[in-house]
Amino acid sequence: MATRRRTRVTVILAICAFTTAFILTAIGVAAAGQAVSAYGYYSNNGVSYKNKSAINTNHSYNHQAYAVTLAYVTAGTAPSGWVGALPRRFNDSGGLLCTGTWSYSSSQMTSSSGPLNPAGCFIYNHSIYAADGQTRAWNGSSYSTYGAFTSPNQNS
Amino acid sequence: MNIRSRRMAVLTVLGAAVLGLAAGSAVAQSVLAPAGVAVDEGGDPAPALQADYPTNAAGQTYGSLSDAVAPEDEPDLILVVASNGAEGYVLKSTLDELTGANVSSPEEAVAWQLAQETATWDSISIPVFASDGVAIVGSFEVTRSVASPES
Repeated sequence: MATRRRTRVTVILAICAFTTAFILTAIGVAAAGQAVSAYGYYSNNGVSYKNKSAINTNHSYNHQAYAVTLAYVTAGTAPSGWVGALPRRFNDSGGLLCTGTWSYSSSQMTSSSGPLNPAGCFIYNHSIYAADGQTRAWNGSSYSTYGAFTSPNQNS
Repeated sequence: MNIRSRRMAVLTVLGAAVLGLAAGSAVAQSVLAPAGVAVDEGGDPAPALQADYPTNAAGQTYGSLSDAVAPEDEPDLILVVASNGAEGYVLKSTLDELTGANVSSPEEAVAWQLAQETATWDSISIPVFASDGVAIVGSFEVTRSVASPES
């Protein structure tokens, strides 16, 4: 009887642990000063790239937060102007909360270069933030546009 | 409860938590992968699902940017949250011009970037319309991007 009860308690605790961990990672909640999305990968015109979104909060001034979109070259060489990145944010119903402007690479980028990492979309006095940016790659005749993963929510 | 069965119980709970973390992470990445982007280097890109936007009396499509697969698929009126908290729409043509989405060559891109780095404006306010594209319900700010201190 006691063994059966212990087993039941263990199973309930395991289910709670699984569910909590699943929800936290699926929804994504971060409590530090920066929340960063997973990398997304794509290739275009002989160059391989990766991108991600990040949200940063700065408590020193009016609970300011800003979005950053990062574009990296992982293989090949992207001449100047080939790479673009745009920071922006949406609400849960797809409404654009704010947007920065496109930044483009002003010099050649390779895997050893730092990322193109424009910050924009400055927001004040909100309690939860998430970023959802876009990046671009020159395909030889026009720009191909790629979404970045949405960052986890950043609690202020 | 003896030590062995207690240890088994703790390991079971910890194992469930680790499985939950892994499953949640996998679901978040696979379900939310943007169109054309892979979750692994060299992996298959996520499929593109074309949005079907409604049209207003003036023939303008309207809806969310987050439903668009590519810039050419974006609606004429883009769903935004105005500074006053109201939901409405901004003209895609206005937004594209202000954000540099219209840049069409690497040469233009470098010139755009130089202009951005020397610009003196921080934000520009544009009108937010109802879905009819006529009635103004608020304003929306486009902020000029700057290089981030973090990478």
